[in-house]
Amino acid sequence: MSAEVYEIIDVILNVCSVFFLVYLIGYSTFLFASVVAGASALYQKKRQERLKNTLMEDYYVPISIIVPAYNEEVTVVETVRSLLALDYKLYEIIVVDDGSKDETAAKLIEAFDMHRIRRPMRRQVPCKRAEFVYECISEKVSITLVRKENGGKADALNMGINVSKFPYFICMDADSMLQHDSLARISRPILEYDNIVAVGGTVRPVNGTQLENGRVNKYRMPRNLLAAMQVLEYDRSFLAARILFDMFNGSLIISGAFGAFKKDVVIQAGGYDTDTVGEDMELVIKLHDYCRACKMDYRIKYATDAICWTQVPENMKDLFGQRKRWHRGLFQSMWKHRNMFCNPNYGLVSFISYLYFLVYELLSPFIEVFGMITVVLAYITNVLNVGFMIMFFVIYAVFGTIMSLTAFFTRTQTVDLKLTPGDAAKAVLLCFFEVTCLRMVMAFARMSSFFGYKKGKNQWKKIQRKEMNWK
Amino acid sequence: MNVETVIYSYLAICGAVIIFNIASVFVLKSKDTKLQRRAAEFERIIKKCLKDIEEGRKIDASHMDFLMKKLRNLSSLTAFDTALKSLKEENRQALEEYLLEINPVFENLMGRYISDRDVIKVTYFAYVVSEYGVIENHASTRMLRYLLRLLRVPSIYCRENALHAIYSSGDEDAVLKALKIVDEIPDFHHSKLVYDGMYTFCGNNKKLIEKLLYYFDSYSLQMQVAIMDYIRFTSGDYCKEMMEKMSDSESDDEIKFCCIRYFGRYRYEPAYPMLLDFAANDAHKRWEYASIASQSLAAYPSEHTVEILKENLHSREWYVRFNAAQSLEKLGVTYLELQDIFDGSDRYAREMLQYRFDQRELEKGGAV
Repeated sequence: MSAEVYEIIDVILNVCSVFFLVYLIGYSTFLFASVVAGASALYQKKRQERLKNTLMEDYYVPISIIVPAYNEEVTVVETVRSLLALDYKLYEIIVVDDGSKDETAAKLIEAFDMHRIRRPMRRQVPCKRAEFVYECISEKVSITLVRKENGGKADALNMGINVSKFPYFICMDADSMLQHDSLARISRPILEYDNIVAVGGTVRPVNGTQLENGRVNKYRMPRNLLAAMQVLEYDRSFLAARILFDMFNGSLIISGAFGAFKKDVVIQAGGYDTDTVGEDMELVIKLHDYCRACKMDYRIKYATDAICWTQVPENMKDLFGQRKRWHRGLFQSMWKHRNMFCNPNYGLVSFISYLYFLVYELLSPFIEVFGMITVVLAYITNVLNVGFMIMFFVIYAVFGTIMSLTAFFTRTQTVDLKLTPGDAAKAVLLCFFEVTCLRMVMAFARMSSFFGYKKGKNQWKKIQRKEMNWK
Repeated sequence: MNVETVIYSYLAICGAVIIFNIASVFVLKSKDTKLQRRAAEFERIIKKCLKDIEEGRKIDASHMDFLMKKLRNLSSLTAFDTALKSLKEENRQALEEYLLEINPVFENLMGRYISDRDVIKVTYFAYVVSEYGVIENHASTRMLRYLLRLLRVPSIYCRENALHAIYSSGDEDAVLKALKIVDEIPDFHHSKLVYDGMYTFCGNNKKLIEKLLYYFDSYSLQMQVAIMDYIRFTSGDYCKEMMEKMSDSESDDEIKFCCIRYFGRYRYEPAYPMLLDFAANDAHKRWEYASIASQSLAAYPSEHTVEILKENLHSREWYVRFNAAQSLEKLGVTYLELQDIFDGSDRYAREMLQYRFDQRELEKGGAV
């Protein structure tokens, strides 16, 4: 190669190095700020709880729990049983069977002695046709089963909204379990503020943990290493970013596994979008969009202490599939609401939340792969300082590891979960792998989500289900 | 700033975070141990006092001094609270007498805590006062004045704890003043919290309701609705007053809705013609009138009621149809009497009615 070409490559690499430095400093600063903010918020919350700075009502608002289910015959009965054990006075359970090919509906009908009923529907948000409705009124709260034509999770949730009786609804997954006090905790903000339109709960992996009547009986890190790494990842994600975004009403995502919504506002906004796979994120962004367009005074809160336990994938294939679907959903939601990009009308939601999700979530796999290519190019052109690069990488990884561990230990300490020394050691060891190896693999999975994008547009997730470890 | 500086700064941050993590584990553990030790000590001391009370002796003045000194400290107050909790079930009567005797301690401490800048601390003290009923029917004017001051602290938890303490005092005038303050402050206080709290009022409910009705117009609409809900779930003795409000053309729609609900809970014949009038579909009034009145009419069985409810099954509003069908079912109207609806052309009316009848069968335990 001529000297001119080397010079051009050198200039490009210099520009790249400045870009990556800014990118990494930006991410590290965000991670640090969010972990510190999250940890201090949790310790403050713990102090408030201990010193009775909390509302102590029997129940707060009547709530409809919507459980969309597709081929969930293994877990659906236990999920409903766990919902019946919740410490809350006024709620109803609605299971929407989205045209399952297995015995989901039959298992429920048999387990709860349900009876077919001709129930009129109030179609306030679009959804596919109902095939039949069963009800059970002999339990603590009413249980409704709606079997409908297959239309995807968002469509099933819309059906649940149409069938629900109460002014607030909770969406959750059929493979998840709510902690005994989670309804009370997720609905508290509704009485604390007059403008709540949605409240997000905290999702924690249940793998390895034993629950009894919605209470943690035994908390262990999962034996499966992949699941154990996800425990660390979930804690970092729920402790860090979400608490920070919550501080300026900038939450852009409420997990589909556990969130409470004000029904009339969701209906006015059009309900769940059946064209996206990331219907949970899309709904929250849509609520920001709708409320700001209507000049409504609104608030979307995050309840750190409202806990939902969920099964996380224990093999690479399922995890890959899940992350591809999440990333696809992220892309669809952000693209659909691209008007939020650097738009002063959306304030900090645009300039912090949207920008963060764009740069550090949506584009990050591309940036990371681009980074690797740059390293190879720099090596070939002999401008790479290998020693410095390794040091930089190690320090970055140590930093990420410590932030993750801080999130993990803060979370376990503030919710009074007892960790065994073995589990603590496991967390320390796995954290480094999670930050370095798993993150790289996930970057690849997320990038590949764009391949075959059309084909898998609105499929239900199909991860391998296990009988849940609760009584 | 070169790259090395950035890297070293982040390394320093890592080190600080590790230290913080380790320190917080030890601090939390030692706090817990200390709390348990202090609580056990308080338990031993209180048990001795309870024994004295059971044997007819007064509490020693030195114990009061001891409490005055100790409970200024938040961690001691927490330990005291823990000790009281564990003793609560053991000897309730003696504990009540004990709390009554140490009432002046709380009064003095309140003066100290109220001026503390830490809102969480103030809120906790208000909780202790309300939780153990230390002022139940024995609140001094000074104590009530302090509690009313707490309502202005910008914390919903502090307000709630102070309100609960005031309800436990059984003093109607204090409750009236408290509601007025809550009504005036700019901070949001949900009406459910207000009427749920009022149910815990330890004094004479009748007197309280009479006073609330007397000063009714001085409250905001939101507070008035909370008061109406409290009255509805407390007593059926106020039909005359509710009738007045329902007939008053100046009354807000929300107040009228509360009155209609009241008459659905407590049957009052003079209200019946008005309920029929509200239930009748009228394009000039809000649909909620027809909806709520349809629900209340379930307490007024008559041919006319059935006629209006059947008419409301054809309403354009879902909730009007839903409540009308529910009331018809509650009134025990037979399938034959509703034959015209089941055979009629209005599918919405038919479906709604069918659903109620199916539900009745389900409740009876039979298959539909």
